Amino acid sequence: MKKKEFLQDSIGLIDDDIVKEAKDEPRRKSTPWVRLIAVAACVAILAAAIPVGFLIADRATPQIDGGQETENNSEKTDATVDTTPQFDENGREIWLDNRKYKEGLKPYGEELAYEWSWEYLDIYEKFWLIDVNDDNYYYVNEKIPEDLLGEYLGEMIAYGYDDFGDGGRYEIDCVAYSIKGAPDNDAIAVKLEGTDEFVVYSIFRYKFDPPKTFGEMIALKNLSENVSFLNYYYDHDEDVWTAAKKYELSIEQSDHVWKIFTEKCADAEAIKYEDYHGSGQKISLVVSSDILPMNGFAIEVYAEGYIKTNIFRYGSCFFIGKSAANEIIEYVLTNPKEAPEITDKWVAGTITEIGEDYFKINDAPMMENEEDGIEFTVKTTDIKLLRYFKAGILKVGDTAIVKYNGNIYADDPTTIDSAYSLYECQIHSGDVYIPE
Amino acid sequence: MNDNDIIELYFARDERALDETRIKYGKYCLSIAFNILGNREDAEECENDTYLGAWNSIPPTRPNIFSAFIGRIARNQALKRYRAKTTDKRYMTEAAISLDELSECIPDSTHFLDELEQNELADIINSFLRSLAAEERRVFVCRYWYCDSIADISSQFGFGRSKVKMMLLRTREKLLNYLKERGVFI
Repeated sequence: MKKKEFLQDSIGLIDDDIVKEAKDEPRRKSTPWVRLIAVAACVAILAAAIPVGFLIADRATPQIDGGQETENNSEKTDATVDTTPQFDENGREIWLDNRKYKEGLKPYGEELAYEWSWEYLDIYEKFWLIDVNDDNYYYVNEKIPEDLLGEYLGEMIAYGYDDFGDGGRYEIDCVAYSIKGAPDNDAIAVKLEGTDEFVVYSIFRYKFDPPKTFGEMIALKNLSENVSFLNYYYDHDEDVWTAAKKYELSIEQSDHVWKIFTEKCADAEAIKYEDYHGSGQKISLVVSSDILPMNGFAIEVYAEGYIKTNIFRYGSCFFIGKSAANEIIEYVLTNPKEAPEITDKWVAGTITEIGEDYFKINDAPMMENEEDGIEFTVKTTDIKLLRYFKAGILKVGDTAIVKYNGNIYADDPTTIDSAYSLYECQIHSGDVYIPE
Repeated sequence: MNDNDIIELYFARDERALDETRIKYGKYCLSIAFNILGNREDAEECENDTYLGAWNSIPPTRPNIFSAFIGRIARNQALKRYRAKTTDKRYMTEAAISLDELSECIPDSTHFLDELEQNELADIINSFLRSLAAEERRVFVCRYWYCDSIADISSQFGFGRSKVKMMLLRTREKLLNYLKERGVFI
């Protein structure tokens, strides 16, 4: 045996408690019931199935760069403030932020993947599995409107495990419906007891026999009918999708791409996913579907003549030939329409007060004149936000960023009631940290 | 199901043991195997081999820490499979990268003592690891036992990547000195 392998194998024999400790022990001793684990470990099944960086979440959430500081994508500036009053769909005036932000100052931070003890999980994090006949379904974090409900499948049990407590299995009653048009009930609509909305649980496809041709893959779930492409990313040279620009696709363009796929690529044979590493010019078509649980996943078309996709949570690759690939690329690049940038709505500042169903954050550190800072009251009962306080990860005096997806209104300009994300950050300009 | 109950199923030769292991530790084993193999199909096969390995080992073994026990089987199976495939130089998985890093702990033109058993070296490494600060130890184990990527370790511990790399570099240097002091090389 080679000497470095001898060392590697010897490391394999280290004591069990050391092995276990590496993944078990909490990062912060002051919060022994919270564990921080790698994002990849949280979604190990997906990580195993999807190459890193390939899953494209077509959302405005900033990308987490594996623990590196990640710049939030919107630097607030007063340079181009539109002072025209804006109203929501109910005619309520939206608050206009015309304060002067300190130039160059940005919140830097990342939303870390904590693994929370049972008491800090929300209902879907707790009960994320359902068995239907011999299949496992798991929660995929998507809501579904009731007009898409199909056949009533019956009362069921959703369950989960308190992995870091007593290890026990816990259950909750739920009702399930098929989703209209969803082939083979790959995804089902589920309402858990005590909730008032339907969410999607998707089949736990632990094993997957990959189709032999691209046509077979399309036929598998009637993809050409059930899936459309609303956006695509285009990489000019390198296979670095994060550098790609995002463009819109019309329904007609999307249909035409499917036409090329079905007419010219159906016989394309599958090759082993890892045999084609992907390089050169490519487009990444972002998948959108009302009835299949594959939103945000992508089909990549490479000018070298290959298609790669992860839409079934498994990487698949087909050789369609340069001619078809370039026809698709050239087609979608004709009259490209750059997609509007979706900017996050956020407030960054100092946590000043923490209550049972609210917290306050003052954004004075972001202001040119600190007196312009506003103490926002963030109203929330969402355990996914409040647990940061309950677990002691964030406390009064800490600097944090709150993201929200609703509006702040002119008649109540200090209240945020649509927060969906909260995490620790630092406010600084470049490498210079501003003392808290 | 808690670990002791799963182990009892193994002792009862009840095949539900395999299902319960898969439910509770399937993702864990798969991620270890995938880190090493970088290949979904191989990782899945390796995961299945892991259950078989557990079935064949329990009884007589009664693991004290079942997660470490099952993870160790997954790691061994994956390394075995990985080494059978690594004639392809493109096959750069985390295992390959971490293996290259580990080679820094072995001075050029030296070898381990012929009579040195793996268990003996493991004992020395155990002592070394116990001498480290917990965080340093955990980062090392994540990298060289679990073969986690730098990015994953960064996320897990909330450190920047450069900090993780620096920690690992220093720990490797310490390990090299520790091994030298104990005269394991010739």
